Amino acid sequence: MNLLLGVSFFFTLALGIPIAFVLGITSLIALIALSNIPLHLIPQRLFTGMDSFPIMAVPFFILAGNLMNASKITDRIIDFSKLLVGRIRGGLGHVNIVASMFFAGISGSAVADTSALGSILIPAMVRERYSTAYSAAVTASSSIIGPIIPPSIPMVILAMIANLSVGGLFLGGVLPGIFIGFGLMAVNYLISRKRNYEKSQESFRWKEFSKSLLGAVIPLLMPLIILGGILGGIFTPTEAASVAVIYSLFVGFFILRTLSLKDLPNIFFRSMVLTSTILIVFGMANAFSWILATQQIPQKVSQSILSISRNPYVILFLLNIFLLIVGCFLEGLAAIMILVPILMPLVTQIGINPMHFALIVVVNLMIGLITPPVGLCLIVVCGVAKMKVGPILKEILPFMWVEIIILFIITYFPWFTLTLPRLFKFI
Amino acid sequence: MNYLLKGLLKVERSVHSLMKWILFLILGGMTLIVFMGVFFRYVLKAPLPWSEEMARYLMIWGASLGAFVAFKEGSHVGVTFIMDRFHGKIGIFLKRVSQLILIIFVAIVVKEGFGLVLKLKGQTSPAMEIPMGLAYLAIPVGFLLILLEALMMISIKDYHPFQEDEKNL
Repeated sequence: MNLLLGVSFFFTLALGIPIAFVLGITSLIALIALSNIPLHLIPQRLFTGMDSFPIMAVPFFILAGNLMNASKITDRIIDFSKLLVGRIRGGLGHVNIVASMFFAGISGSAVADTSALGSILIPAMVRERYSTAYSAAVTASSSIIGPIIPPSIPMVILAMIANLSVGGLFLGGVLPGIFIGFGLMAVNYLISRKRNYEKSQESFRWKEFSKSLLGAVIPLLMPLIILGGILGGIFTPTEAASVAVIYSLFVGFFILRTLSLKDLPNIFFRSMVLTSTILIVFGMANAFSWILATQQIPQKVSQSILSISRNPYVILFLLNIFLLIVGCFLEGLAAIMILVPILMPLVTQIGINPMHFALIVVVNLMIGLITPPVGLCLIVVCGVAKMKVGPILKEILPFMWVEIIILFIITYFPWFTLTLPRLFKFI
Repeated sequence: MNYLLKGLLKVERSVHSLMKWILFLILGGMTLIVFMGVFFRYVLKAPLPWSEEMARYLMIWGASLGAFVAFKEGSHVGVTFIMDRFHGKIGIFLKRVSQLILIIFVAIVVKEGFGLVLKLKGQTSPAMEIPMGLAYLAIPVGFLLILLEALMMISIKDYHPFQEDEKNL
């Protein structure tokens, strides 16, 4: 049975069949082999998987991010970031990274960050004589902060699967996200000094600063509304996300006045289609993990890993390496849906805080967004920069190494992930 | 044959714009309903018992129909780098095999999905008290559309489904 599951999973995956269908097909084959369970289990698990109110935060966060983006909020974020860090050596590189951190507060997905910031900042950086490949590398490697700083789509999904609090995970992502941002800025500074990249000569003016601060207040309020609402117990994460949608509509129509009614159908349509690609995988994974559970795969996996070592440090090291490799081949959300149900029992068994582990998983798999061959941000940035993957990859490496080092620091110092959730009594 | 293809593409185009409006209304409806739920509970202190359930069922319909649109556009993520290595006859052969496997699977989901809807006859949802089958129907309908699309892709040679440029927002 295990062999059958493995073979059908990897065979259909290798054939290029979309992951949602791979999970469904594998479950179906297992059901046929088991022969005592009706096949309607598949549509049923698909339905019950998607029939969840907490998961509805996903479409709302996607929609809010898309609406904000369509209201040209990106320009304001970039202006503000320029004033904050534009005068350091490698200015626009820093701007790119800091803007990613701010953008992370309104969007929960890294791909949105890559295309929104990349399409403006890559040409701007090239004008200031950064190489195209380097500009693309900074854009892609900083965009992974998007789902680490709240709101975050992977965290909503993880909270559902591992039965954790969304608010707690959101808070836990704040410090690691900022840490990664600073780490990337350090790399950008060192490389820019070596290659003598630009340094903005503009002098600092208070008037300009206050003006752009005012412009940036609108996007910056969004994470505060979301986090504040959830932490204050005013609304559930899903409700917070719907409030974020209403807020971005309000901003787009009445404050910035950059949104027009005729754009709305398409923005909503695109957001729903993107959501459906996530939800279908989620529903199919619900069937798949049911099969795995009946075959006691999670227990078998923990046993075999525990037979190597029972030391939490060693196990976390092995899991991190394993997940980094998985992240190279499998899209992050799908990897979370497939692997977390398998790995969580093992992790809690050896006394690792599940919230800490969940945050490690998010950071780890988001690094997978910039590694070949299946790095979504890498693919998107190639499109934005109109370039082949090879040269960009070479420039990404130093950033990627720093991210991996930070991943291991976070792994072994739970301070980064657990301080804020503890402060707000989530653990 | 060419004539037939042109007609098909026309149908395809109108299905696409129909889907666009349906999905817009579904997600818009979800947003309004959930927001209203918050408003009624916190401002008017009179919670709406049906809002959560209605939003959930709308989302399931949206996800099923959206999955069809995404299928048409090829935007369901998969691992393609292995298949990209195969060219020529072997590549086409493997592509056909994968399409065939997918079609069989989707057809079974359609059949079992409709079966499930029939089984649920008489059951009503807890809050709105609408037939449960109405909510469950989303899955076989979405997969039936995927099935038709997949059948057209495998059987008609020059069939390329209608796509918009605005795919990436």
